[in-house]
Amino acid sequence: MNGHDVIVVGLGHAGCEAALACARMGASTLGVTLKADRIAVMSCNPAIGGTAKGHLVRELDALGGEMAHAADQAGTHFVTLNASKGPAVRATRVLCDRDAYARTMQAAVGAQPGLAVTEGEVSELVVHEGRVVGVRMGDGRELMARCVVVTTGTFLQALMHLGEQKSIGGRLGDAAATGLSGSLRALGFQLGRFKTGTPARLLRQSIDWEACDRQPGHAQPLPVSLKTARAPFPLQPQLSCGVTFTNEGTHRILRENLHRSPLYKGDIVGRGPRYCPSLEDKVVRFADKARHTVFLEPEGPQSELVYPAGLSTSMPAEVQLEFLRTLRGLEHVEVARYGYAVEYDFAPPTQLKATLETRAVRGLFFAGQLNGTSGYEEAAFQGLLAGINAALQVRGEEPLVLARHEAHGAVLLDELTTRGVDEPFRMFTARSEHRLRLREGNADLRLRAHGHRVGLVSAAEVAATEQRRARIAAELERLEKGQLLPLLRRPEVSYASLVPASPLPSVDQDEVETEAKYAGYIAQAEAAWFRRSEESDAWRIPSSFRFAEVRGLSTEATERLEKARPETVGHAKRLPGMTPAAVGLLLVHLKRTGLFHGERPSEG
Amino acid sequence: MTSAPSSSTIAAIATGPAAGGVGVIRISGPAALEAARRVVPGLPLFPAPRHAYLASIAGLDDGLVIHFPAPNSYTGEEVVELMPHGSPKLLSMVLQRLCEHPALRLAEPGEFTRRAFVNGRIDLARAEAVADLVAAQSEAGVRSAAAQLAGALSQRIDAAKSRLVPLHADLEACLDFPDEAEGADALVAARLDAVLEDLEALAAQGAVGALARRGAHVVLYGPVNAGKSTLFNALLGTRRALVDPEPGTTRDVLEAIIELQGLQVTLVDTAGLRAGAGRVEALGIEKTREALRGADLALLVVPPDATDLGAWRSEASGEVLVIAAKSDLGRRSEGFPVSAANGQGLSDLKAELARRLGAGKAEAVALASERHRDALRRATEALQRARAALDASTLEVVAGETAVALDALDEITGQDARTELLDAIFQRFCIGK
Repeated sequence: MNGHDVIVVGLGHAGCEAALACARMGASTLGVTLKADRIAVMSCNPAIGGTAKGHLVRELDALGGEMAHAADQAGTHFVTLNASKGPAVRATRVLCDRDAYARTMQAAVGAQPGLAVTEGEVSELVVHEGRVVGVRMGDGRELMARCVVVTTGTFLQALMHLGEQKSIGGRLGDAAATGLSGSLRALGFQLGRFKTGTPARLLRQSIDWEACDRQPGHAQPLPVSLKTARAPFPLQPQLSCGVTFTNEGTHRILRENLHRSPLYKGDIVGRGPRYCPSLEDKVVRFADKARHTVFLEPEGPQSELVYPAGLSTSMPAEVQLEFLRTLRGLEHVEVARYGYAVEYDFAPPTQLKATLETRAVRGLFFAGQLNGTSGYEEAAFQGLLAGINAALQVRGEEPLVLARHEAHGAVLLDELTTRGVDEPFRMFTARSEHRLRLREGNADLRLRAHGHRVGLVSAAEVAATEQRRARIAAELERLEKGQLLPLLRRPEVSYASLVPASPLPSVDQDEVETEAKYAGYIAQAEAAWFRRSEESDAWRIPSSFRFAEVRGLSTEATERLEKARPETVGHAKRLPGMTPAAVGLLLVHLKRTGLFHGERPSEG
Repeated sequence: MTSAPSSSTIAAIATGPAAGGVGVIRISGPAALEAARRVVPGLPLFPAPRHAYLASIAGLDDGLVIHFPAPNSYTGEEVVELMPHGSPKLLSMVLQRLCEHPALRLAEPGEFTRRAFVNGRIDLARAEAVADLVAAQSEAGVRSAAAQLAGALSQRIDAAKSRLVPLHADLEACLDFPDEAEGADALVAARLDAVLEDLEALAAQGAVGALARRGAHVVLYGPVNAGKSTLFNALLGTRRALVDPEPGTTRDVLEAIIELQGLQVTLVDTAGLRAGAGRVEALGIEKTREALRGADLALLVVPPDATDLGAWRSEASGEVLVIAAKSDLGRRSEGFPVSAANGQGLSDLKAELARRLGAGKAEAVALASERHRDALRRATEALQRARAALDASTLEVVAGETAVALDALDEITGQDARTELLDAIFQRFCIGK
């Protein structure tokens, strides 16, 4: 057969996860990229993780994705955010050597059996009777496939703005994709326009580091990925970041030059994210804030460049240099590349099913920043799920849809496909009503079984996780029998103090302690969530529905549902004894089989 | 709040079943005017909004007819009200004629108010107040329902939410944007305490309001022949109960309703309790215990020579007022002295009962329905847990419990404060990349 099982269009963070997952699941996969040496380039902040994003990375890792492992290879600075604010919001952030990260991913892609890469621009999708059959390239080639995953990021009709200068391109040094938007529109897809910005890159040697505060990383960091060996670790030389601040002088320059900012001139059409404004935005909206923090992040042990986090801007070059030099430590700074904004087309994700397959065209999946998200981690998680579901479709198996109580990533996909986006979507832990359950420390327990089922996690790996689960459960039972659980629930009592000579690994001890302390709070939060009336309450359950087919339900729950035969999800919710988890699984099944909003499951 | 406009037109008799001078038939929906014209052919093609036309209704009677164009009507839809004389037969004949219109049907109970809520004309608390106002049995009940209708409850809840929403936003910002929102959790303890105080006050008033709405239950109990029935009759001003010097005469539980300073009070007289009672008496005693369980206030009526009140007090689980009955025959050191025989202390007792039951405070915000009280209780408990978690647990738990409290408050007014969270965060904080 001429062709592949899956074609992935665009090999950024979403595309790499999709392509690797497909190939690893046995689908013959072709990745298409504008330039092979730009695969997995980080466009902006050279860091992976952070609040909520760190959670996504661990969940992606537990499912069998690649990002966490690459971050471990390239990490130069590991920190834990929110360390004292609770185990559910505790998040890992890894500053990476920008080049090393890209090279690591490129190596993984290059080494993957079943995955080929070709350079070129996809200008058109080829669709036959409502099903995608391949892509047409700008150079005339037609490449056939059973499924296509589009992960074009910020490249569709992309326009960069540096002050008054405009240029076409999805990222500095890269071209734009000009044909595909037209093809998507012709297929009936709606497109919107968003913008994002990035700061200047500074020359390391021109910064007076002594004048800045210092932020070192962990002295002995642990790997983020379950697949990375504990030793030797870390692999890169570790670096410290600098910290400095803007001041009234900086703000004055920005205010005086607002008329030269493309955003304020109305040159930029696309909507930007509220939580990631340009510096000029910040200064206008928060006029009485005396100073804004700036983190100076070295881009790598051998790199000349420093990334100043917090200084995103699209001001003209000379204005950028002027305001940069007002910051402490940057009085003589030299700029290697100026900051700019980029506008791009995105496809509102309400056009997708919960599986990330488009509603309008079968076999076609969209993932990543194309769907209106921002952030490498959000993109990667979507890419992984889209890749998994494309490969499952090729195999003729049912798609994977995670329930909201299983992962922050599930909340991400659910929010995108049901509520849509009106600004570039970033994940926050606050979006998840089950936040207390969704911790970095239990991602493996929640998700590795799914990864194994689809073929991305090996039998040995899932067995190790089940052993961990058993150890934790056994210890909790032991504590309960010994009447020690009420003691452990007390905030001032730690597991280590209760069981000083425990044979459990420290991550297991953490999990035991958290489970003990949080059980009550989790129950309260879930009871409250249960009461909230949701739109999904009105979803009808067909009269022929077989509750026994809902995967993961306990026997009692299935019996209860079969007996009562509720007609709506809301009715099911209110049956005595129905737990939030059971309702979540029912919802997942309804979504996966297309049985919601009156949709019927598609044939084939 | 988004909602599809109702496609159906509904009609009902809005006034009660008893005959009155005027009756009102209300029609709401897209076909209201058209249907009304069927029974009021004299109605102009384009009636002036809210103008009272005097017209012949169904050829049976003359009455006022008023057209309320959407959205300025009770339901927010197109409404026509017909006001013929209040004869039930007449009203039902007019309604029947109206329902002959194919697009019209009889309204379900509460449907007009439900549409008013769906169309944003009233919030949930006010919607319930309408029901309460209609059902109010005492003056106090009316005043309390009216206060709620005027939005007093909604205002208090909104005030509590206006403090809680920014607090929640600050907490969540701390968790999701630790760099930019540093320090936003500095005054959480004080802020939580302030809202807790508000809600606890609301709950206390609500308990009072609840009595005003549904009426208080005051149960008289005590040893046999203490004078309960005599007192009962005296409070009632009639001779309803059997009064017989033979012990154990009141076999049943007797109830009667009195009004104390505008508050509806159900007085319950019970059989005297004693040891060694026969089988019939034992049944009466069980009923006494049952009545006590439902009591808002228990009156322990004891004769002058009664001793060892401790055991008696413990029969009742709630508030107990000791009544030293038959005070004309002897004084006691404790207890409220009353003599039903000569009327001594009776008016003082009535005043004391009224005071304890909160009569006269019925304008206070009322949380009459079980739903409100339950939601407020859950909100208060969640905030108490949040407060405890500040000292004892982690910030994420504090944030989570605050969200639980907000959800519960939303239930009372039927809104959704959670979707405002992100807006609130971005207005308060400068978040950057």
